[in-house]
This record gives sequence, C-alpha cells and structure tokens, in this order.
Amino acid sequence: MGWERGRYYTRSRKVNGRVVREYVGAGLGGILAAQLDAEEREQRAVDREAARVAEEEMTALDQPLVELNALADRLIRAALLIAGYQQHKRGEWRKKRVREQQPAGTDKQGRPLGTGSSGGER
Amino acid sequence: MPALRKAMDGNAALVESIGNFAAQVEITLLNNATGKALAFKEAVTRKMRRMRADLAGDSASPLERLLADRITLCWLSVHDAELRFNQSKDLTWKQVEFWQRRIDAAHRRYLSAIRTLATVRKLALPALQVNIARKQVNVVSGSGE
Repeated sequence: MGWERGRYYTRSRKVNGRVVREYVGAGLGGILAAQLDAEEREQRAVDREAARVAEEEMTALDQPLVELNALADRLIRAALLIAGYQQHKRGEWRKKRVREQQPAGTDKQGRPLGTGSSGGER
Repeated sequence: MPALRKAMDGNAALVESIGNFAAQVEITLLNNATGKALAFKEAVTRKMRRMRADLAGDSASPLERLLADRITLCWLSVHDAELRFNQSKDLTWKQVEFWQRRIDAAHRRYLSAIRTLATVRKLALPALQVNIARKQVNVVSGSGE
C-alpha cells in the first residue's frame, strides 16, 4: 500500500500466493482510500494488542493452578515413594520388591556355610 | 530417602499449606470466572463444594482431600476456558489456536488430577491376598459396597 511515485495510490494484496498491486486512484479518491486504509491498519494493530494482552492475562491466570498441580504431584510422588512404591516406566506405580536379607554365615537356602553340598546339585 | 522421609514427617502441615494455596487459587479463579455476577458465583461455589464432598467422601485422608480440591479447581478452569472461548466473537485463526491450546491444557490437567486421585485410592486400598494352590489371587476389598 502506498503512493506510487507520489501521484497515485495503490494497494497490494496476495492472490494465489503472489503479491498483486492494484491501482486505487489519484487525487482526492487516492487520499480518501489511503486514510481509510491507515485507519483499518490502526484498528487491526489495536485489536492485535488487545488480543495479546488478553492472552497474557489468561496465561497468568492459569499459572497458579499449574503451580498447585506441580506441588500436589510432587507431594503425592513423595508419599508413594515413602510408602514403598516405584513408578514403572513413567506409568503405573508398583510396590517395590524387598529382597529378604540373608543372615550372615548362611547360604541362600539358610543353611550354615560349609556344612552342605552347595554347588553340587545338577 | 531419609531426607524425603524427614520432609514428609510434617506431611499434615505440608498438605495444609498446599491446601491454603489451593484456597487462594480458588478465589482467584472464581473471581475471574464469575466477575460481578454474584448469583452465578454463588451457584458455582455451591457446585464446587458439592463436587469436592462427592470426590473426597467421608473418610478421606488429607492427601485425598487435596486431590479432590485440585480436581474441582481444574474442572472450574476447563469450564471457564470453554465458556470464554464460546463467548468470544470475531476471533482470528491465531486466537482460535490460542484458545484451543488453553482448553486442551486445562483438560489435560483435569484428567491428570482425576488419574492421580484414582491411583492414590487404588494403592491405598487394603488388599486381601488369597493363595489357591500355586495361583495367587488378589481380592481387593471395595469401599462403600
């Protein structure tokens, strides 16, 4: 959009992806069209700014809830870990297997070491 | 783990403080969603109270109450986002995209909150273990049946 060589007003628009410049007019007609276009541009800028502010407000409004969710998630996670659960591949929570402690001086079957025939079974 | 255990020793206080935070979030969301429409505000407040009571039940632990609070707040957030989107006029594609993203995010948070409460309930249920021959059968006692 603009004054071509300062003599006549043109508008540019896209047609099938190509920019096409169309002649609007010279003299008073051109001046009026230029003023209307300027007002429209200004209005669009105002609308864009209002939408941007509204979007920022909405995002800010969601923020406390996002924080609350994160806090609650951490709390629940901690509670489950303490209760002996572990998350399986970021999905299901499963009870952690606790391996029974082998008393000192005994083999896996609980027999005293050196008395049985450990390792002899085939 | 010991550090975690120590931190969680004050579990009730921690839940309480997060609960207070949840109350603040509720006031903010409610004021923003209802504006100056007092009747609407009162109706939404009552609905949320009932929803919270239904979700938590009578013998809820502090954690379950917190999660019920969270679900209620997420529900309000989803409905607020949908209502605002439906009331908006002459939106550009960019704005429609923004609102859709916002609704999707709110919906994801809502579902996640429900899933967490279900997980906590499921894992806290007392399970009766019965061994029949070599097969192990877990019978979970249902509550309120």
